[in-house]
Amino acid sequence: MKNQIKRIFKNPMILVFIAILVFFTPQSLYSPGQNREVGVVVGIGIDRQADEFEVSLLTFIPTAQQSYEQMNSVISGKGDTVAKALYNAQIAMGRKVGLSHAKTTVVNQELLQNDVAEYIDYLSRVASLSENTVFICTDTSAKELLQASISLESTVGMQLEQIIGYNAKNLYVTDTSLEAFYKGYYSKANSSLIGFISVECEDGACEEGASGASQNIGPTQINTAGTGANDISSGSSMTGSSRSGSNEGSSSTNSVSGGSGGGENGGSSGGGGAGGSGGGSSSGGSSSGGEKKILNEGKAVLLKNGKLMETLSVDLLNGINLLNIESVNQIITIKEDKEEKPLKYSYRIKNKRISTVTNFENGFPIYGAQLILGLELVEIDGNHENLKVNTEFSDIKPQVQKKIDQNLKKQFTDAVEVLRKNKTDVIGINEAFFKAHRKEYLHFLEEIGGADNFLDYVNFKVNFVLESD
Amino acid sequence: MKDKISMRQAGIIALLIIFSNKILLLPALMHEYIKADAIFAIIMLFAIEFLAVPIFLKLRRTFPQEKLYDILKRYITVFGAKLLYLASMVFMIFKALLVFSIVYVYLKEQIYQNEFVWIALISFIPIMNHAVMSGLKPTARTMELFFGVLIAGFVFCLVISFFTPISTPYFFVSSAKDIFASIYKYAFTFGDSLFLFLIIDKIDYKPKEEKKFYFYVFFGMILVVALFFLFYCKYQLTSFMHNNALADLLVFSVRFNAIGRLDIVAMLTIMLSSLFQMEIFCYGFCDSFINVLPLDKKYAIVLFDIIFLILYYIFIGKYEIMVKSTVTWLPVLGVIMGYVFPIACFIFTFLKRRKKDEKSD
Repeated sequence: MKNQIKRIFKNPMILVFIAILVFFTPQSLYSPGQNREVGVVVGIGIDRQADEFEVSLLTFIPTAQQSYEQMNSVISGKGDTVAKALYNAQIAMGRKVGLSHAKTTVVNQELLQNDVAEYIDYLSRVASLSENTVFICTDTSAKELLQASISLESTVGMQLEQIIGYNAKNLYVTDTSLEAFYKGYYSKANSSLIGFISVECEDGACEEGASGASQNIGPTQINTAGTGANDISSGSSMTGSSRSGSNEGSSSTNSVSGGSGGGENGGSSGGGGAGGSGGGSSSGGSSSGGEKKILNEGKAVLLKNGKLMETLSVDLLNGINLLNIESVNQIITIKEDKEEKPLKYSYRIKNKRISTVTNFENGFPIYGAQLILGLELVEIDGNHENLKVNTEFSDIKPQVQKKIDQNLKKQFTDAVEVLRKNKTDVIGINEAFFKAHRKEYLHFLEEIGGADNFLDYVNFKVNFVLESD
Repeated sequence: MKDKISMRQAGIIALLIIFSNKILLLPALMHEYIKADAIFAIIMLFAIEFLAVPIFLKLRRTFPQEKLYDILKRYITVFGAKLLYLASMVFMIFKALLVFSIVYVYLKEQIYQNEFVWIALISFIPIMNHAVMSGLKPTARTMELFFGVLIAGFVFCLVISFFTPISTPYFFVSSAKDIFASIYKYAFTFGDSLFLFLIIDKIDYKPKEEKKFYFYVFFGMILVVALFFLFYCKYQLTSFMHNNALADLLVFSVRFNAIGRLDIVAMLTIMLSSLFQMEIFCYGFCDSFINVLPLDKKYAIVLFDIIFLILYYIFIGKYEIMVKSTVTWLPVLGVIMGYVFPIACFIFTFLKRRKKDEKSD
């Protein structure tokens, strides 16, 4: 024994080995394989209905197949908090939720009635939701949007974030990631802009389908519809656009089966209910009577302190982005009154040069901007052929110039009006004054009682120089 | 002479310890406290740290053949010297723990695995141990070999940030009091020049190569300041939410994400620099231990490994506790070892010169 101890101390590295074994082996032995424990989530949706939350997870299930086909499922859980709902979704999935690969985060309008950062904060800080996830809002249900996205992907091979990516590049002209939301949220006016996408039902079929009855016994219910679209739900019952029938068991369930796999979605598509310990059965769990489609109208949502203030149309977005140098390609249509027949001219903003100046005059903030717009005539009253050839059309007549000028000024005034009304600033006017005239700006804020009202006092002097291009 | 490292290798070691604990979590932590004014705080901290370099070189010139232990023994007695080495052991092990904790959390996120600590420990510990067993010269030569790759990776991450929208952050938003308070608060993440003093007798000092040494130190500091600046330019108000500064410069470069997993560049750079930093701190611990107790270095390594494991597992298993410690009680140790100690060394050189003058008189 003595000799053995001596031998150990002759080669003391064995002690390190023993220490590692003692500290880490037991816990490692009991840890299951990572892929069994964590489910890959590629999209997350949060719905709020009254005082209940529903977290829906668009999950990716890797399966060995001869042909490449991605199996996506929407799994959801309900609870009185987001954390509880996520926990219930985890139970339904049978795995821990891994949010690092979540490319899209959808919330419904109801959730935006309160400060959305309170809910999202939990996901990004605790549940590792990446900040570069695309952050969007939907009018009805985030769950339905995620389900509709499965159909979109399986039919046209397009992903939800690609649609928003187009909007972000061409309409919002700003990033619509969670990171961008936070940047706006922590800005001086605490305002941000996020994308808006709605779900449309074909011929009102969704409402009809909502009455589809289901009977669930046991904690979970699984419905499979179409190709590759599954829906698993867990949690307490919630009255929403989709309803389940009578519920029995420890936790009642709901399910909505979205248009999936090309929209073949019968009312009795509820698959075998995985009732768990309760040996649950489900019938007609799918509440959809028709295909749900994603409707992208290019709208965005204006948020103040994380709360929804207003849904912005494309025109308002264009007005907001007039001062954004990267915002080009928007179409301006004007009418020219002629004796015989009024003509419609459509011009495209091909390029843009902007010079801005901020100043305080008599103690009031002045924001001056000169926009030199390169315009291209793309259509005259339905005739858009050979416009390039006929160079006489390229010259912008003074009366047309005047109309375009009026049109743009109105667009900008409307946009500013909306921002003023909602005490928001997504143009960055506050930041521009803070950067250029910090002392006067801060002094002015003290006088008016904060950055919220600042835009009301700013005098905009915007001058448009129109050039044919 | 054979076992000594060149001035270039010493410069590379200095650069690596300048990177330690500053390229991942620190920019976010400092931003939470003093916003983008953190840049002024780190410039001031670096300015103080930079002063340690001429003191170190002067000490080397004044005591050309002596070990640090002998110098200390002469001026602060054997007990004082041993006490200082004991403090150095604590300093080094906590530095290693901090590097490990931060890089572990980063890699856990990247590799997406919960039980990663097991893999991390069994890959880090043998490398650290090998560095001590093989000696300073082979370790420094390895660092020299990978130095180009490491710097290329670091610069690449910085350059990529220019491909995303960046704008100057708002400066002067924090009070001077807060900026100075942060200098103390984050003192533990700086003051790494202590390691250079520990290996003072292992450097093949050549007066002509002093410039080279200064260059590496200055270059390291410039890179860290550039990282802070670009990170704040990129994330501005939300900088406090991004815990992996160097990696996040790449990850959110949306235009490049289309190419694929470009963040592997950041991962490799961080992995290389962390491994080398852990080696340095492990070496520093073991070197100090040998001066406290005249035992073989294999015992020092074993002690390091066991304390490291116990501290990580029992006390600092929670990353937040480790990070919190660096701003609560560890700054005291940081100030003593990183700033007071070089000043004391400067006084020693002054005392030696006076003695010399007295003798010549």
